[in-house]
Formats: sequence, C-alpha cells, structure tokens
Amino acid sequence: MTCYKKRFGILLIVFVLVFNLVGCSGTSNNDSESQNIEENERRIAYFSYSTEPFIDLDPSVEYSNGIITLHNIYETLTRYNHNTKKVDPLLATSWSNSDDGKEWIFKIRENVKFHDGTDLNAESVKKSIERTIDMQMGAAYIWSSVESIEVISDYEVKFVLSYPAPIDLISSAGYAAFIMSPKAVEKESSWFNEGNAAGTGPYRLSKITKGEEVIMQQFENYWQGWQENQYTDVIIKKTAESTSRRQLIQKGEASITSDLSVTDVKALSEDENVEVIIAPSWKNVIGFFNTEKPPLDNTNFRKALNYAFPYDEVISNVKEDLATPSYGLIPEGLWGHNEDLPQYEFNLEKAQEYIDKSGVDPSEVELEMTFTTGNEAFRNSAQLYKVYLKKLGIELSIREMRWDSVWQKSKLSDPLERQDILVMYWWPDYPSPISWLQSLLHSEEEIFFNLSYLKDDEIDNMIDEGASLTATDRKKAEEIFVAVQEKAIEKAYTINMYDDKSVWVTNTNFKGFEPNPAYAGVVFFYDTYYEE
Amino acid sequence: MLSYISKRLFLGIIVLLGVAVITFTIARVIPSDPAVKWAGSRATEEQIEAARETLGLNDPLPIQFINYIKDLLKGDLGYSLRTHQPVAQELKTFIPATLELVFISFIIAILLGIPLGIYSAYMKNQLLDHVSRLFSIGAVSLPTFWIALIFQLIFYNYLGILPLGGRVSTEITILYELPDITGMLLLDSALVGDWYIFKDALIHMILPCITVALYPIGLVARMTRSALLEVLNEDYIIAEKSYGLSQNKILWVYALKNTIGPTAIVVTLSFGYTLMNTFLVEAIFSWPGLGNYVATSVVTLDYPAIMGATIFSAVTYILLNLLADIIIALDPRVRL
Repeated sequence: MTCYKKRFGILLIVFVLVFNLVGCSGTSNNDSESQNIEENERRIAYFSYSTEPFIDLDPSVEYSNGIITLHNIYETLTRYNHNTKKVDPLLATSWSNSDDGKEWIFKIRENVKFHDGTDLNAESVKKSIERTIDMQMGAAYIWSSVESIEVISDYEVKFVLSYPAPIDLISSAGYAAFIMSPKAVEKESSWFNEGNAAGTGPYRLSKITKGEEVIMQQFENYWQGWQENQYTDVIIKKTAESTSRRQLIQKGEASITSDLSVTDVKALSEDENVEVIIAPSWKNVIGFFNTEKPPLDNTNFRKALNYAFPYDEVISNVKEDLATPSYGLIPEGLWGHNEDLPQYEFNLEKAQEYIDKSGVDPSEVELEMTFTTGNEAFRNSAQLYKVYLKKLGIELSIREMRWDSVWQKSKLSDPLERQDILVMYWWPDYPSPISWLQSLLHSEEEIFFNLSYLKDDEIDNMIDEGASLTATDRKKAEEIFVAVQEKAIEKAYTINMYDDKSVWVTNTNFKGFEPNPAYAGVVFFYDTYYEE
Repeated sequence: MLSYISKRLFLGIIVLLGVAVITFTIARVIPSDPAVKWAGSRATEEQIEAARETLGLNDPLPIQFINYIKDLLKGDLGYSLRTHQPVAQELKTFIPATLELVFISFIIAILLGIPLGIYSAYMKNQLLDHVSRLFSIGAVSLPTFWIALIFQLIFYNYLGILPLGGRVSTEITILYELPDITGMLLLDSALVGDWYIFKDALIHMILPCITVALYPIGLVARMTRSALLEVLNEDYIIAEKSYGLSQNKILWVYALKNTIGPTAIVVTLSFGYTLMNTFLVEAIFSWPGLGNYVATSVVTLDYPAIMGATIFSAVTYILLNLLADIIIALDPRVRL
C-alpha cells in the first residue's frame, strides 16, 4: 500500500510539473506579462561580441574592451572625426586656447541632462576629470599636463596646463575622458560595477551580467532627441566562438558582430543577407630592433633586415588582405599619416647589398624575435621572415611568451640580454600621432615603450617641438611628425610590418554604422537605425 | 560515524592549508608582476608603484602569507588583478550558473547512465550491450568542444529548434526581470513561479547539459556495468535465481544496491572534476559560469582569482570525497 502511495506522489509531482510547463507555453503568468506590453514598440540591437563587454564599468578606470559599452552611456567633451581628421563638438560646443597652448577654455553644452536627472554644467565636467586624474587608474596619464581645472561660469571651464597639450584631442580620448554626473563622481568604483551609471549618453545602463552581457535602454531625455527607427534597446553579449557569432549573424539573431576568423569572414562575404564592412583601424604591427646590441646597432644591417621582411606576402597570405601596408608609424585616418613617406619593400638583393655594406658576417648572426604568445598572425609572419632571413644566412629564433615576460625581458639592464627584435601592436589612447612618436621613439630615463632603445637627440628635439605645437599649430606639428617618421625610416629603427584592418559584419537591416578607428571596437548605437 | 566524519573534516582542513601554501608559493614564484597586471599594460611607473602598495606587495613574503591566510579565514580571497573586484564576490556570481549546469547534467547522467549500465550487464555480449559499450566509450572519448559545436550546428543552424547559447533568450533578458535568489535561474524561476522564464531557461539548458552529461553518462554506465557483472556472479544472486525470484527484482533490488559504492565514488569525483572543467562548454554555449571565469583568469595570470578558484575546487573535492565515503560507509560490510 505504501508503495502505491509513493508512486502516486511521484505521479502527482510529474503531473504538476507537466501541467505548469504546458500552461506556461506562450506567455508568462505573472508580472512578466505586464512588461511585455511595450514589446511591439521596441527595436533591439544585438551586438554579438567576442569577449566580455566590460571589465570595469567605472569610467575613470576602464582601460579595456569596456569602452564599447561606456561610449554609449557616457560622452566626452569632443569626438574625433576620422573623415575630417579633426575633433567635433560633443558635450563641449566650442573651445579656444591661449597662444602658448597652456590654457584651454571649453564652452559646455546647455540643456543636457545626466541619466539621474541632474544637469550638465562646468562643475560636473571639472569634477569628472578631476576624479579620473585623482584615481590615477587606467589611462589617467593622458591628463598629466593638467595643473588645475577652473569653473569660469556655469557653462565654461578652463584647463590650466603645466606644459602645452592638445586638450581638445585629449578630451576626445577613447578612455578616461568620460563626463559623469556629480552624484556619480562621489561614488566608489564598486557602485559602477554593481551596474549603476549616470552619463549623458543616448543609452542608460539597464542590466549587466558580469563576464557575459550588458543591456542598455534608450535615455528618453537625450539631448540630441530620437528618431522612430533608432534602436530602443541594445544588448552586447559575449559569444566567444567565431563560428557561433557567424551563425548568430547569418540567422539574423545578432545585428552586428566583429573579430571573426578569416574563414568566417570569407564565408560571410558571399552571403547576401549580411554586410561585411572592412575599415582601417589604428592598430599597427611594429618590430622594434634592439639598437643597443650588435649587429643591430648597425644602420645598414637594420636596413637589410627591413628589406628582408615579406610585407606583401604577409598581408596577402597571413592576413588574407585584412591589413594594409604601413607608411611610417602613423596609420591611415589619423593626422600625421602620410602615404608619401618612403617604405621598405621586400627585396632580398637589396638586403644582401646592405648586409655587404654593414660588414656583418650573417653566418655569425642569430637573432631572437619575441612577441606575445597566441597571436597566429605574428607567428606566421615570423615563420615567413625566418625563411627569408635563412636565405641571407641569418638565423632567427622565434620566442612566443606571455606579455609580462616579453616586457620584462625588454627591460633587462644589460642590452645584450634583451631580445633582438620585439614585435607588438600599438594603438593610441587619444587621437594623436604623439602616442606613437613620444612613446616609441623618444628617449627614456627608464625603459618603458621605447623598445628600440633610441637615444637620438635630433628625433627627441623634433618630437618635443611637434608635441608642443600640437596644442597651438597642428599643421606645423604634422609636418614635424612626418619628418620624424621619415628620419626613423631612414635609420631603420623599426620594421613597420602592417596596419591592421577592422572587420565587421552586420545584418542588412542594421544601418548607419561606420567604424571609427579612434574608438576601437565601439559601435555608437545612436548613429545606427533599423531599415526594412 | 560522527567521529569518522570529524576525522575526515580535520584531514580536509590540513589539505586546504596545504593547497593554500602551494598556491601562494606558485603565485609568487612564477615570473609575473601582479602590480603591472593591476595597473594595466601601459601603466606609468607611478601607477605601478601605487598598485604595489595597494596590493601589499612591498611587505616581506612571510607577512604577505600571514595576511593571505588571515583574509582567507575571513572569507576574503583578495582582489582580482584583472577586474579589480573581490574574488569571493566574483566566484559567488559565477559558481551558481556552473553548479546549475553540472547538477542537471549529473541528474541526466545518473538517470541514463545507471539503467544503461544495468541493461548492458544484464544483456552481456548481446546487441544492446555492444551498443551501450560503444556509446559509453564514445561519450567518454569524444572531445566536448567538438560535440558542442556539432550540436549547435545541427540543432540551431540546421533544425532551428534549440538556441545557440546563453541562459535565456535575448528578448527575455531585455524585457523581463530575471529572478535572482540563488543565482540558479531554473530554480529561481521555479521558486517565484515564473514558468515562462523557467521554460526558456530549461530550453537553453538542453544542449549544454547534454554535452556536459555525456562524459559522466559513459563513465557511470561503464562503472555500473562492470560492478554489476561482478555482483551477478556472486553466490547469493545464484541462490536468489534458484529460489525463482524475478530477474527484475534480482537486478534492481538485490544486485544494484551492492554496486552503489563504486558508482557513487565515480559520480561524486567526476562531479568535482566537471565543476572545474566546463570552460570549453561554457565558452561555446556562452554560459557565464566558473569555467569561463577560471579560463580567463588563467590566460591573464590573474593569481588571486586562480587561487580563489583553486581553494573552491579543493573544498568541493574534500566535501565530495567525504560524501562518497559516507555513502560507502552506509554499507554495513564496510568497517570504519
């Protein structure tokens, strides 16, 4: 009898479960249903992203992928326009600077509201930037020239600098230049990371799932207003596998995706239901010669190594044409880029000629190339390079290491113990050539990113002059920066391997998207819209 | 029994202390500067020095270790070098999703694996046995990531009947407030009675759970089969057969209970193993769980996060071992 009771109990539980499941197919039976009312009015943009959509949601701290989220929630004073190569007004309507470039006055846009209802004014700009400077996290260093920030009037703020700096460009930075509500300024990082935010951007933070997704919802009081076909909701969701992202976009579930494998990009190029967008990026690949270590202290030998690098083969075979040749250090779309700059070409005869000129016996040379492990393009390029160097009698040993180890080795006090060639990506924190030239070519007291270990007074002086002119005479500064690059190419301090391209795939009904290389990986969803 | 459990728990604490010492030492020996990780790859010297101070890296090593143990006893696992968030809080966020995934997978594994093993043993060397053995070997040996990708291709891309990944649909994530009581979505939606979300979450669990379950199904089936084959040759089974008891009764009532011990050990230990090894399944199915968190921490050498996950793993193994021992100890033939 007991046995039957047990069986009946089990049957009852199963029945209740099945009943509930069947009963729930369709719509929810609780509060969820009421939230469903507005569903028809909503347009959802789904960004299928390769990695987590944020690491830190504190706008003063985040120095990684999180800008793809933050640039839709917060805004900066200015925004870089890669088409005009100038900055456009955003939260600042206009700006001016003193003749010496050490004082900058920004007029702040009126009638702009933060998501928490407070008004944007000069005070909130001052507090936001000061918070970022005080925290000294992430890319806070970009404000290192700022001595003080003064509020002149409700809508005017003055930056007083210790040395001339292009605050209009710095204000448009991808990182560390976000303006937040005065209430948010008072909060700790933990407040932001709990899923709170208060910017002036078109979307407010709605929900977060750490390591997984971010959901943003239209901010009704956004100062630029809304059109009917713009997206009301945005979800940025991690899907690590390239093939999975490809399926999501092909099925029409995702609106936009990026970072797909070459194979997936090729396959999608033939699919008429999606659009593949290939655009310049500001990420380039540079090989740094250890100029303090023989035989790389020999200019002719470095030139020979430049002529031995198979630029075109790497771009066509390794990068499958998802890269372009470098013309100097500054990539396409950024002021300071100049396609008239001389560029080395792959020519083994010339390489041999320069080896002969250098007087170096190649059979006695074994070079060590280091780079961060896991980068297939670096690995394949290095293997190709090795083959051609071997033809010249030069041995190349390839060492893939973790970035920490690559960097630690590059900083060893004895130049002979350091690597011979270090390959890495470079991209700017704010839209200025100075990011490359100052960081990579200017002499340093302690080794930081000048990984060719240059101590070239002429180049130093040119960079310093150009840097100060960046604030006051950008045209002149640009001329100097082009001359610096010419000099660096002439002395063959680096191998400028290639400039990477960014690849995006969108649904054909996802319109208005134009990648901006100044903001890597960012989709400004306000600019996009839905079209049948 | 109580003294036995106390003894095992005491041994567990010693093991935990050993794990803490080893993980702390490894984290300090491997050539990588936690301060650089904390401050970021382009941090200035000042930022790196400030990070060193914040993380207490300027203290002598023994002091650092004592501080680490003190914090550990308070449940403080330190801060992640990558995210700057408390590791304990992050583990709390990610563990429930994985627990839910693995727990349901093991229910499937037990429900399918044990009957498969029983019938395989019962029909030794017949067609069902061959098929079952082939399936078990396949389930154990086929790479999980490959199975996951094939499942996605078939059920999402070609048939379009199951979602590609995630815990719930995009629309549900955006339009509804998801219940958050335990962090296990299926349980939470059942607790609040939101069957719409429950159904969606359940559908999203099918592919990842089956993928995770395949390995333990194979393992459980094989273990049950071999244990049962041994038992079926015992004298008491032959005696029961001679008394004319039905095959089903002999199999399910008398034989099976004597195979529970080895199967329980396999299930509990592989539960612990799976809990820490779901990262490929989680990566492919966009499952925001512990596996993903550990994999990212390892790739970025986020020592506090790795150490936190290791401590969690050690605690889990100790508890599961204890559970397995208790199950075995319930057998009156076992002397404690």
